[in-house]
Amino acid sequence: MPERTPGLKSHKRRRSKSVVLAVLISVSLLLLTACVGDLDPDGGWAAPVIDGDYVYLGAKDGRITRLDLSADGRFDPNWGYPVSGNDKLGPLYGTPRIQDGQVISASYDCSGLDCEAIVVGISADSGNELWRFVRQTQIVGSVAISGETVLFGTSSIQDEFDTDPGFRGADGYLYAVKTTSDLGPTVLWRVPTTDSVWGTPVIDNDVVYFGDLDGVLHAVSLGGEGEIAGTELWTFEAGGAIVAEPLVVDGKIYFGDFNDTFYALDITRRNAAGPGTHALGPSEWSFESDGWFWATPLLVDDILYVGTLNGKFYALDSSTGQQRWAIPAEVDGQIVGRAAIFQEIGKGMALAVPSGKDNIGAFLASNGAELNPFATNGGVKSDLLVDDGVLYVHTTDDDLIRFRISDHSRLSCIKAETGGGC
Amino acid sequence: METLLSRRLWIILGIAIIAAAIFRFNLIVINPMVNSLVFLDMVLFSNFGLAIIFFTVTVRLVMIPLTVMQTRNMRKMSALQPRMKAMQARYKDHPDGRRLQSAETMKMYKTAGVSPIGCLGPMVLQMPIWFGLYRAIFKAVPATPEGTANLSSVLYAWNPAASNVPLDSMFIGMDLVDLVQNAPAPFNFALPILVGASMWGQQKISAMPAMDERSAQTNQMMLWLMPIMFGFFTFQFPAGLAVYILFSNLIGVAITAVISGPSAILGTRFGTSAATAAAAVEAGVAEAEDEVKGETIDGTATVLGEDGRRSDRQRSRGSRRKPRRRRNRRR
Repeated sequence: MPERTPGLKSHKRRRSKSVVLAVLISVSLLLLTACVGDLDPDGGWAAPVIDGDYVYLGAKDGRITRLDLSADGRFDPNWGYPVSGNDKLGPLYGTPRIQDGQVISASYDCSGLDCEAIVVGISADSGNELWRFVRQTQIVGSVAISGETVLFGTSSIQDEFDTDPGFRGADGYLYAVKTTSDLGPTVLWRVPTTDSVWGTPVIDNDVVYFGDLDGVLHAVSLGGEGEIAGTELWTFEAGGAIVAEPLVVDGKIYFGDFNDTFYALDITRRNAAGPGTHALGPSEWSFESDGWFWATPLLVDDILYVGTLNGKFYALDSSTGQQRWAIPAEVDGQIVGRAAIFQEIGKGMALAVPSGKDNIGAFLASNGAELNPFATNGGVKSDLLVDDGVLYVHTTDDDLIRFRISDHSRLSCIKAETGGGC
Repeated sequence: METLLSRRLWIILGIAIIAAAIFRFNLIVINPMVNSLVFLDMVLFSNFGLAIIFFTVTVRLVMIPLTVMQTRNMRKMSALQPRMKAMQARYKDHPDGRRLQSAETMKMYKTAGVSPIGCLGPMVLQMPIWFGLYRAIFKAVPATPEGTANLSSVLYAWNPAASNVPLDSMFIGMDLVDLVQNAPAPFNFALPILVGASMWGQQKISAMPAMDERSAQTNQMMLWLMPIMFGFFTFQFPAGLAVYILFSNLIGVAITAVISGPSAILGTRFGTSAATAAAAVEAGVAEAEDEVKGETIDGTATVLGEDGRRSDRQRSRGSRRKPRRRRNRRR
């Protein structure tokens, strides 16, 4: 048998090694570049919302669907957005709002970092699109509604499309858009911020409150007596980014930040102090936890219930900020959505706490003792909704699950996009 | 001993890398990277680009021992080249030439303290760093609410920069999280070209010496193929990763220049003349012929080391020759 030339053989071996190396590196690079999905929003954070006999829900793929409570909570196949001819929205994070027969919702989608945000008004009767407002930006939070004006926070607007009035080139804005104009939605004014506004704005007494990712809480006038709409009344600099929707009750505003701190500010004092940022006063307090605050707090009987992204759930005295439970309750995943309160039979008031991993935690309001959870088999990052003895949960898998409060059992589970079974 | 150590080191490193990649890549590679980047961003005036560059410098400094090992390995390989050529010529027509040649090559490597895979080390180690950094950039500067929420579980509680997020990802007019192809001109074209060019330079100065003409052709192909491939893929990288690769290559060239001396780079790598090479080959052949005269050509016993004394003597002769070869190289 003829012996092959060693030089040729070793050369072939070397060459094949080089080719294998090149192929390995190419495959690695291809795998590397296949991971750009991290830039794309996923959604699935929108909570269900009840209006009359219907439960409206924003699905992950940008559809808005509804359940008919008069038909035993079944999926309504005759209503849905978009109807044919309309483009669907992008992934939804903010819960749709319903006012004056309109379902108003905001969403955004991206290709790379080129993002397009849409705010849309839909007829609650027909599902037809009534108006649409589009900008090249991100809208993460829900909208707030004041009469005919819709308010929402955005990230920066891409320069070439930034033709709106007011300061250009800011890293974020609060937009005030009039939706009933003959010319379609019209920008009334906008407030520039030094970073994106991801949180949902809150309106109280002709003032809108919102936080930004630069850690600044803003109070902006909606044009009350003697005030010009869009004027910043005061600001407060927190230690970290604010994405949580603030809670405004009885002249106090409650919110948490990414510096693990939860604040209670006295609105009356702030209004009197005027523009600028001021230190905490005697009627104000802050509470240090060990996790970021994303969820909106819940206030029941002067006790604030709020969770952090490391799964801790606190009960705080609303006037002092003191913890009411010996140790905070805890769920397995991140707490992004707002908890809901319900009556646990034979045990008193209880709280359902959404978890970013699995199951809805349940705890007694009096002491934080753990109860049987609501089994979701999927993460929940939306606010929870309790109505008429039923807990409504929208999971990150895009399932809408209804639980019977009395025994924590499932009533139904449907796919939010299609209405099919889970 | 040195060879043995380096082989063991490679095995341990290889196993560690594979284990880390499979089981705890996030914990071992990505999370420390994210925390480092976030911390560096805070220290470096909230400039994420500077954080990446500083991170790159640190990584390359940490890897200096490996780079030194690689460079020394290459020098030794270069020094062995004439002897290898002579050996190939010697066994060309030998009936058992392939086996003898293989055994003698390994012996020669062992005697000279050369690890045949030593040159791959830094590159193999860089791959998990690239993978890790790719993920770390997206994690440190998340573009989505999900990413931002997840960042909270990645940042260490004791990281003083944990509350500084979200970070600003803009650097000299480009977004470091966005893909290079989306970067404004001229970055969208300049970055792939610079990455390709710097990689070419890095490969050029760290290329393994070719054993024959065919190997030289293969090396030449790889010398061009890899930079072109990387340049092409850079369009799909986040700009931050492209900045890392670019600076990593530049620092690699600089480190090699410091270790080998600039003249070594310019003279040996870029400016090797045919005459110098031929002289080296001739010297090697002559040396090999000297060896052949003093040893049995049927060499089984010598090569396989059955005669322990001869084998030892050969090794010690090899050891003695090392300084001479080095002196020859310097000339």
